[in-house]
Amino acid sequence: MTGRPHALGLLAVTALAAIALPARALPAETDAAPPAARSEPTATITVSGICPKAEAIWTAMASLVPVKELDRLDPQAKIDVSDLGDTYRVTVNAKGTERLRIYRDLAHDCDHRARFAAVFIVLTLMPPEVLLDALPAPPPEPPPPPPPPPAEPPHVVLVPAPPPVARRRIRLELSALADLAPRSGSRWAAALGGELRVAPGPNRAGPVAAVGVAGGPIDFGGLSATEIRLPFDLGLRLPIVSRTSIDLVADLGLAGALFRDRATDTIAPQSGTRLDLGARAALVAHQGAERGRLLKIIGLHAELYPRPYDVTLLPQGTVGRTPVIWFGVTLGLAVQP
Amino acid sequence: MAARPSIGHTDRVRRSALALLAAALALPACNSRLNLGSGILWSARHETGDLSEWTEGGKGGTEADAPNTSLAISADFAHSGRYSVKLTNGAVSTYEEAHLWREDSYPPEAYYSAWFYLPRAYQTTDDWSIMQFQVPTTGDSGVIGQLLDIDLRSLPSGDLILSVYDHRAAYLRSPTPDPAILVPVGQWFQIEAFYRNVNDDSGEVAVWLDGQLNYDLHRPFGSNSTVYWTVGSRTEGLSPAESVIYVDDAAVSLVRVTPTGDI
Repeated sequence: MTGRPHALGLLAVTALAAIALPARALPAETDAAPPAARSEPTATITVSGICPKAEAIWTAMASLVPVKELDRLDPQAKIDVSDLGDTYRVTVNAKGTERLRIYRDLAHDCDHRARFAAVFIVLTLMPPEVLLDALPAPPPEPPPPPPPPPAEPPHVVLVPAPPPVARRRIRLELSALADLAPRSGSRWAAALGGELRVAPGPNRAGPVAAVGVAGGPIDFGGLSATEIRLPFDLGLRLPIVSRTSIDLVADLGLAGALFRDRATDTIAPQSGTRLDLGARAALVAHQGAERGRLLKIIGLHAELYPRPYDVTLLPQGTVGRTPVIWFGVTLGLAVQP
Repeated sequence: MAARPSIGHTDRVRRSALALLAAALALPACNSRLNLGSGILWSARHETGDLSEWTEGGKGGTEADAPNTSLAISADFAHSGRYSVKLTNGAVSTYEEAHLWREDSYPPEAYYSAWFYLPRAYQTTDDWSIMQFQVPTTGDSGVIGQLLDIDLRSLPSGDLILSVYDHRAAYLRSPTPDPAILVPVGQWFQIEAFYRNVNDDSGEVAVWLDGQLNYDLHRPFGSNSTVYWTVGSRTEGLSPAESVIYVDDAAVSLVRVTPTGDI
């Protein structure tokens, strides 16, 4: 009991040094005969996924301990490494005991993963003296004594915490806006403008809200007019698909638009302001690094206003109705503060 | 205790938000129309229950020759809404009138429209003027001169038609179109006149009865830009002698109201 914790502490320091240093910085014995070139795995390493590869793990293990010591690995041990995307899992099962570690690696650095997996495997399967034997000559001044070992040394996780990565909680989407309203018997109404949308961050469901401004021509039968719209909406954003550099979300909610129409080609033209209230559905795609600050966005949306207004002229009476449905596209940038 | 004002404030905010939402949702229901233009220069629908629309802006008035004529707001019949103006005339041997008028510098081209209702048929022995265009007499702005009357006249068959009489000696009575357009009895009918008030040959008066062109007369007008437009009952010797006619939904406009128009 007295020597083992001390040896494990040294082992941990050695392992950390191995992670931090490239393979050619290892002792001369390793350099002279690269272990990966002439050793074969004794234990079973099963890898699912592409990062890291079993060969890279074995190479990393061979850089940690003398090659001949690798033969002392329990041939019955089962090592499983699974690539889970932004994380990877290392499971070591030996002598009926299973140990498991899950590491996070957003950068998908396969060599880095291989070294971390190798350290965990070696620490789990190798007797401590193996690595001690492999240590280089002690430095002239002995290092300070290591801190007291934990209560359960074999379960110490010697994995350095990955650097903190900011979790993007919201997105601010600034987009150009183009809306079209199909009309029966009249030219389609068009409105061009922009909108500012506040939405939850990547892979999050949550409230979404937007305000905008747009304007363009609109016809009501034989009457031509211009329309200024201040659309707004409040709803829920739901993630649909998320890939490495693109994600697709759906927005559903209530929509409204304060609009002002002004006739342009009639005697004594007038203007009027009204409020449309209805519902909105949209699909929005974001392209760019999930945790990046800036993403490109493109969206398609439809707005339904079930209670249109009768557009009238005096004395002619009703000449048309305001649109019931608007279709539109947005194109812009999303900022993830 | 410190939390109470905060809770109260939150409640107030919530109530205010709900009230705003309710108001916003109710907004379309309040006014489902969006009017984007009006060619109506003036109108009287009489739904105020009085004759104030005729005197609006000091540019009009009402008058009835006592004791044989009268005019009053009435709920007996209405072309739209609830009220119209009831004009009675019991003149026997001399012309007497009850009338409503507007006087203004209307554009040189404008339409003058009113709806009338005859509750029964009458036999005319002389002109029964129900619409008139008048002008100030030259050199004396205080005197209104007769210019053009639109009258009801009886045919031998007893049916009523419209007849146009120009008081100027060069024109007088206009020929009755053939076939004649009969004035309906017991239902509302619209008389609409287009008046181009210019002092050359492009001057024009066109008269539609229920949307059907009845007269189209070209002659100079426009001796004065002010138009005196009168709707009323000016007659004598009708049979029966006590006549009643109702007027509703009068308008002066830049475009034709037509029988289906909205004022």
